[in-house]
Amino acid sequence: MNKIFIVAGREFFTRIQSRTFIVMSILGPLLFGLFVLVPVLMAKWNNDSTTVWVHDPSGQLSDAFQDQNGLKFQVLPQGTLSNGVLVPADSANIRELLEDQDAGLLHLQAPDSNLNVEARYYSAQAAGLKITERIQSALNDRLYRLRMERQGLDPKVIESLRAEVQLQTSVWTDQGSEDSHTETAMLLGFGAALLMYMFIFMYGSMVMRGVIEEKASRVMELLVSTTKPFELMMGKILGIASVGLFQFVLWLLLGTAISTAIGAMGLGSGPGTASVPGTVNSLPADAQADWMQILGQMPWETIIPFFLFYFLGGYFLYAALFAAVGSAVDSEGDSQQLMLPISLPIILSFVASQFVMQNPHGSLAFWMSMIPLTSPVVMVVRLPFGVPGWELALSMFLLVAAFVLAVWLAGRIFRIGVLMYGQKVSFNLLRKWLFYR
Amino acid sequence: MAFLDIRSVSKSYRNHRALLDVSMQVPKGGIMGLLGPNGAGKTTLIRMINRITAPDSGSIWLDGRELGPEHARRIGYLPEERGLYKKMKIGEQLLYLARLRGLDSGQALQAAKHWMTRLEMQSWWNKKAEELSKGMQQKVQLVAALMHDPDLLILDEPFSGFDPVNARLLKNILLERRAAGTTLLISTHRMETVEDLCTHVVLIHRAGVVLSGETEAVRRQYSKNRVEIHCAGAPASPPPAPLPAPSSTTTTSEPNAITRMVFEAEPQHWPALIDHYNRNSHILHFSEKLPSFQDIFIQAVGTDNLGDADNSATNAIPSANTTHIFR
Repeated sequence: MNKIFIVAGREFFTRIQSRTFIVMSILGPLLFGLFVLVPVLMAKWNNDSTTVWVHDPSGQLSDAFQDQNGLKFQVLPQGTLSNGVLVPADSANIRELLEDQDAGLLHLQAPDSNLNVEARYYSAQAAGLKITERIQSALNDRLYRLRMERQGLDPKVIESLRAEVQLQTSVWTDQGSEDSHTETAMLLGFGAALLMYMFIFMYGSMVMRGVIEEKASRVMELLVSTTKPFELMMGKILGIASVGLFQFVLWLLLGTAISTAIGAMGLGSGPGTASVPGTVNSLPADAQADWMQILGQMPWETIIPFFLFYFLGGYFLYAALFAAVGSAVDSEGDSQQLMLPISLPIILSFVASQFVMQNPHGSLAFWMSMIPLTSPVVMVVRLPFGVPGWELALSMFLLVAAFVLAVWLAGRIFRIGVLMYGQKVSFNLLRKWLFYR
Repeated sequence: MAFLDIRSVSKSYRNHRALLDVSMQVPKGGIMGLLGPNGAGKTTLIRMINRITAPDSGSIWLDGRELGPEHARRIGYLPEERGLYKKMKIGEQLLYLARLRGLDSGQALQAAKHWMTRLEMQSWWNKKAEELSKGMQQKVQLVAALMHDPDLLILDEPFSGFDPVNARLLKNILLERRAAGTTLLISTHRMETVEDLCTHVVLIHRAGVVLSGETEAVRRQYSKNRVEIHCAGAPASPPPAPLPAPSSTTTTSEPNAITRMVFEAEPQHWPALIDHYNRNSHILHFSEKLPSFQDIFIQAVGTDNLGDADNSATNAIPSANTTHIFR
């Protein structure tokens, strides 16, 4: 038992003193900021302006197009091009229009008696989805209105007939009903699952690299001669988990400090709460208040302890499996194929969590929150929706059992994989090895 | 009773037998030299004593008890494939390894300081292993093996990689440990180590023990009854039959010439030989020429196998499986 803490202590203290750890602790919040900022910037940079020349012989359609998001519409004077199908005589004009790479030509024909329109878009380079979708929806909209008018319907009346019901959801308990917030629960569950997924991959693979390093540098010969493989693996997993949690806490503190500083300088839109990434401060003030109220109503006192349990449990289980992979290979390059069977269940549970959110009490949700390889992510997704106590208890028990088994297995593979290459593998020998004191 | 008692240990790998029914005893305070050609199974045996690998059959006893996890505290080990954490400071590595052996932090610190001073490496505490040369790293590992003052010290090729100064330092430390009651097991290819240090030897060849015993007894066992006589002046007349004539004679130049002669003679003829040269010349030196361990090794193992790095082919277990080649 004592040796587990000696091993964990070494993992923790050598890693937090390493240059990579210090650099990542500082860069982490900055990178995360970039992560949030880059999509916004990318959307901005994507708005290179494009000029669309509209040829509209009927004159009924051209005013449907609004200049927006870098798309500019210009109506061509009548007679520039032929009204029907384009003919060779038009080619000189078209060439002139499309000389600018960022220009396009929308060639419309007059609507027929059923208000159908033939439209064609010409450009020097193939048109992107953004342009074609905008043009299509504007045209469809305009034709819809024209058709309504022909039927003698007032578009304003039609608009007023649209219904929009907001379904309120409640959980019935014997004490009365409680509001439940499906969307908030979904967001919360998904955020938690994402966090867990990141943690498992970042620090799980750190465990794997640590094991490979000990094998490659041959330190393990001394380690194995003094320490049980189970203690070695457990210490390594605990030590690296502490590194990860420590780093998270540092990031949280640093992130809060940075966003507070930005807020104080008046650059950010929100107050100190801006460290809750990207959700709160992008909403208008009253929506923000609503959101806060809903968040306040979530059953945090049950969610948080279970979240922590599954967060750590999931990490422990996968870290043990990563350690087993590290024990079985000689270099990081060789580990790739073996990592696939480990990565699959976690990716699967991540994908499945979307269906689980739609039906958090269905049989998919139930089984996936029982199987230890998928339960950490799936159960965390289910938590905000409320999970029966016996399911939680069973799932937690299975997770702990699977974890202990996985560490033990990893320790065995470590010993065998490191030194036993060439051993005749028979069940008898495997059993002997697994039970060697 | 033997301090380290290895009882009919066997071990097979997939396509060859590493050890077959190997037994040996090392008395308390003895220095056992473990000899054998490459691939004979020495490292496998050492790993078994360190509980890194388990024997297929047989048992290993230390100080009257079968080997178990509690013996980690009492064994010091310098592995053949030396390994340290590359990025970790020397001092911290030593503390870590000593604590895994069972010392508490205070004892570990004290022991690390003591041994680093003893081996003249006080200034290395904050250096990382990757900054040190191979020989320097070896010293670090030697300290790791010595720190917890083990009762059994197992050293795999301890002298390889050391310069003569460090080699002498190591030799002194080993003799000192022995005087303090430590039992040593040294695996080596250097026969001068055996002649210098070891009280006992065991030679493993083709997975089995070929010879074992106290160093002097083994040498005598391999003696070819060869004696050397040095006389003053030019060669005297050869001794009469049945005494043998010298098998080689060399004479240094005048003045003060010395004649050196070597005889292959049964021990019962030695007094007569001495008598003959005492009467015909002046004997300066008489000695029995015991074989060197170099000679004993080659005689026991046979020259056909030297340089045959992997002797797995000679003791392969017949098998229908394809043969795998391992690193």
